[in-house]
Amino acid sequence: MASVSLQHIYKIYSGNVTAVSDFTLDIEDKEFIVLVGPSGCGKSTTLRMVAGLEEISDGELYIGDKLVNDVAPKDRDIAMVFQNYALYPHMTVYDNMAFGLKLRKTPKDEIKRRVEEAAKILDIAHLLNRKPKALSGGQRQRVALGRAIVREPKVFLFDEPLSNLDAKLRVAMRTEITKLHQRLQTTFIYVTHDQTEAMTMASRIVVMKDGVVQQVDTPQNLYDYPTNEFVAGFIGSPQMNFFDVKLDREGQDVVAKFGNNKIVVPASKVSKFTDESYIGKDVVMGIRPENIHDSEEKLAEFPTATVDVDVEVTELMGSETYLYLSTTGKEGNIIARVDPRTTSRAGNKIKIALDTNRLHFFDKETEKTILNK
Amino acid sequence: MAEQFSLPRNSCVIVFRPEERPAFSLTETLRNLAPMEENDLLAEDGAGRALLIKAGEDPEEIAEFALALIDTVEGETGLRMKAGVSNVHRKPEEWPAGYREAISALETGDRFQRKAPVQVYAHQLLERMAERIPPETLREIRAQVFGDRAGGILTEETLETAERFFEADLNLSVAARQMFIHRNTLIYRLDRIQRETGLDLRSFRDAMIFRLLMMLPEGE
Repeated sequence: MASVSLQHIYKIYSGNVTAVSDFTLDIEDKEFIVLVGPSGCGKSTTLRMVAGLEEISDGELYIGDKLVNDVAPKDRDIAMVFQNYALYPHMTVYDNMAFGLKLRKTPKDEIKRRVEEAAKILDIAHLLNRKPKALSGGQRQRVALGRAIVREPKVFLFDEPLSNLDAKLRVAMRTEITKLHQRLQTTFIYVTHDQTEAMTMASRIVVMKDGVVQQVDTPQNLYDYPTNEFVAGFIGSPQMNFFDVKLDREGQDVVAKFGNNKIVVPASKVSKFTDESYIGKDVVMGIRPENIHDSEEKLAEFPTATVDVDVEVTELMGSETYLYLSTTGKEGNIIARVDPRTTSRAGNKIKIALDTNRLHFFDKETEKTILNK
Repeated sequence: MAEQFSLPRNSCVIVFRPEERPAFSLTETLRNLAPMEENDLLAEDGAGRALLIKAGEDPEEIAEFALALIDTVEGETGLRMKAGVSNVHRKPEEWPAGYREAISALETGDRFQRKAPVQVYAHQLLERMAERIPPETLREIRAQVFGDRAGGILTEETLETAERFFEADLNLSVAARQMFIHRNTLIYRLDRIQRETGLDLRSFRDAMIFRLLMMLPEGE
């Protein structure tokens, strides 16, 4: 068990291509940290630098109290689970799990103890004599995890370990890995491009873009208080709706205008503006799909925040329905997540209400939030 | 008495190509890290690559072995490699042909920008057919389908949608499930591709044309 500290880490490839820039993060012992972001954002490169598989161009990396910049991967006391979860087909599950330890010349009885213990944790003790061919996808993934567990590392590193699994298995393995973290009580660093994985597993999430950390926070805080437009759009599915609006003062009210639409921004929200001078300017307004409503009740609750829209597509998901809507002053669709009993159908012209307490506002130039927490 | 050594009967040639030339001996490292079986042969090819003649009947299993070994080497040394796997060969006289197939698998993988670390010669039939289409013909077909808007049409989302739909054997429900999206969303995306390209990916014929055009990098 160990803390991991990345201090001003850079990865610069030849030709001056910066893959990771000034990455600073203190990961506490036993934390489950998820690095998330679109492909090419530097998350895997960061993980590989922690693993020692990629040289650090600048900055300092500590595992526990030890500076490990120049320590070989095998001596870092980490174990990495790759996305391939490839197993040697001619070896039994036992031998696959024991193989890394054999390479390290671990005594036989110690190997046996560790493999049996890991197999018990992963509920694969009954499979130890089987060959990989006879295993299901989920069982193979567990063996791959077992290979890492037997190393008894201080830190587990996961590089998109579920990306090759089908959707159903991915959900199941997500839970398995969370349980494993609780059981092993070890530091986990996990890389994924899937924000759902990040939200459901992490104690803290690091959102990255273009090699730069955008925000580090708990899943709930990232969702509720995104620090910029990128984080707001990346976290949440379907993603947050964005509108180019102009903020204006009308009497006592501050209004957000787009196309033929006008929304009154509640005073409680205005009081959180980082700078009053945004009133009178063009900004970006964001609202999550679940905060857009088509029920009479909500239309009555937010009478100064209604918008006339055309329903283009409806998707019944069972527990909810997605409405794809269009209106003036909004490029592309507005997506609303509404009650499945909605009567709205494709082709209808309807009114929707925005829950103005849940509005987000971002600077049009810097894309940073203009709201204090 | 001379040591007895039997040559593998049915075997595949695996060529391991490091991403960059390692500071250590590649074959020595593989010898130390690979769980070698009796009759496996390991050698260098003089071009910085290692070749392993691995006894086996099934290229799938051999590819999996290669992938596991790539992971082991990367985990232990940090060295990243790709591997090409030949067809199964029955006699040692066929090993040179196997070596050429493994190299060809690697090169075809490069040409089609395949990310998978292991390229299997037997899986590249379509790619090898596509390689034989004259560039001029390909440009004509591309222009006919995409006009000069290829960049605008072949977005990451479009390519991902098409790839997953093909992987699901043109099954809408399976593909939508795999992509975590609603079936209607997938239909909406396929309709948009059809509007933009005239190709309905739900039809096998159009799917084949799109797949072929997707396979070759732009500018081919």
